[in-house]
Amino acid sequence: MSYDDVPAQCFWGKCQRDADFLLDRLYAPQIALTPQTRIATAGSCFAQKIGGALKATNATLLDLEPLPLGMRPATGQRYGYGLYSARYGNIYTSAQLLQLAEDAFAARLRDEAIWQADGAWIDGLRPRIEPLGFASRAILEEARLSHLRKVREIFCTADLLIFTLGLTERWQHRQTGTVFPIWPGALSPPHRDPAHVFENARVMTVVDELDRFLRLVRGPNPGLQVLFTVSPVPLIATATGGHVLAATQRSKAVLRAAVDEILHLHPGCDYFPSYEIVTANPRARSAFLGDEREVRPEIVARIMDLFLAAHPTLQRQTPDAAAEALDPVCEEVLLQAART
Amino acid sequence: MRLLVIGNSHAACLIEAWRGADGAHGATEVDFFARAGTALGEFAIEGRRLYAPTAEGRAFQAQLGQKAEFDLAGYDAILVVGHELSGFRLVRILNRNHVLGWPYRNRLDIPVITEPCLRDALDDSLEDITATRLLRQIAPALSADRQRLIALPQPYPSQIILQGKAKSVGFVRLCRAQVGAQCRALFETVAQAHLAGIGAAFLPQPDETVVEGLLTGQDYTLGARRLSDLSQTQPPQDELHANARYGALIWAQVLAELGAA
Repeated sequence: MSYDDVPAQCFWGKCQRDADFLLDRLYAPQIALTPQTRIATAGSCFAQKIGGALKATNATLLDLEPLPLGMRPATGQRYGYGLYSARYGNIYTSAQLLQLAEDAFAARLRDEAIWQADGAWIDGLRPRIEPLGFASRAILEEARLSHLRKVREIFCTADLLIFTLGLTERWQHRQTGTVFPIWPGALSPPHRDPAHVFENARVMTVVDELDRFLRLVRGPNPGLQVLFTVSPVPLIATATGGHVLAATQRSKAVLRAAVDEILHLHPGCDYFPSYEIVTANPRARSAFLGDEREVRPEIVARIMDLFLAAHPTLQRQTPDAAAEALDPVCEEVLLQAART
Repeated sequence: MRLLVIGNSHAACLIEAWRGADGAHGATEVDFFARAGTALGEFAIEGRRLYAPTAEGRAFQAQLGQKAEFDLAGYDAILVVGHELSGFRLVRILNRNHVLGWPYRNRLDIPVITEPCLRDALDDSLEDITATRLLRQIAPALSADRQRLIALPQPYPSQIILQGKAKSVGFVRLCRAQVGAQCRALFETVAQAHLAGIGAAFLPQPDETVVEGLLTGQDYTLGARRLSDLSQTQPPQDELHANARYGALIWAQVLAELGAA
């Protein structure tokens, strides 16, 4: 194929002349979705926006740990309900995703991720899943094992996993490699341990982790498809010591490149360019709200318009889901709170 | 003292008991405003005026020998009975969630929740029931220093549900798992706190009527009357309604609460 043969969207100038930058041609799905496709969602906090928008459609979203009957969504959010297909909270990194799958298939508890604070027991892998912590270690362990069974069921029964990659920076336990969703020192109350070390993943690491994840979950569920997105939300803080802007761009570039590599390695995977729509769309120079981290609702709606247009059997059933959506739950903000 | 009882089919035991007391409660006068079911639309409130907005509602009040319009200022206490204020609210959560730390097995591997989470779920679920919606509408019309609001729950299902096929299978399961008393304690604690937030006192089901931790003894359910026709008793397999003996205990509880016993 030469430049003579490629369509208009391949040329910046032709896109520039279009009022919408020909965004309707941005996403050409490699996987087919129908209302019957059993969809699981996971990822960084931006994934909550995608999941929330999909809930307003006729898509079949898996929820193996649903909101208890009668509980209001706002209350449920404090317990990790309604965010994803199970109460795993935000999964910011490929390492977390791989670790969750490994733990789910091995029914594994991690001692180094369980601690006591102010009389309550904390699940360091889901630190905000119980607002007051767990009453005992035994209850925490029972809760986690039950959760892992539901996660395993998701990986074994989903047709599609939508996973939003958020960060390359991660904190892990030096001896065991256990990865935490957030630096435990930023939690309230803080949990500081010299064994917690910082790591900033390189492309090859992210590719390796996603590759291992796919091989693991496709063992019992060979038909599982994965739709990757990269969160457009900037880092709230970097532990590299460098500027947060450069750290953000580096992190997103690594994730974006890693996903591209995975698409070449694994059929049945696809990428949806929500990151590009938010961060690089010439028609949306101000895609963020005042703090420059929260994506404007109308941009989220536009993202979903493009997604649904590419999967025409998925249709909105309630028109204003984005307007009614709750603020996303983001552990990352604790990093800022830790310094203010 | 003048009391107004607002309720659904669970008001029948109070009507029967009051009539059976035959003036034994002295100068206390009671009006009833009742309608089977749980529709909030059966009641209308405009300022201090509470009335039946439908012709059916007014006819039903006439059949009970009661007025169809009430001035809320004329009562020392307003009692709301049933109207979804019930242990069923808790049990329907527990039909789908297993409580961590409670001494029973999660045989079906349903999703687990902690007790604080269960409390919050129940508290939220009480927000939209007819009883609390009514109480929230009535409260602003009352003079808080001289008028009381009281909420009375629907009784727990009858112990006859242990004998055969029952609608209330969740109660059976919890009683057999021997966590009935824990369920009851949690329901009553949450309901009490929730209703206090509205300005209403919650009077729990009397201890002597409870068996298996979460059921109503058969002595307090057999022969329960039907609100739609007080001359008729509920069918023998009815598991939901209490009788006049139960109603008499509730009246003693209410009058004690109001300092009129």
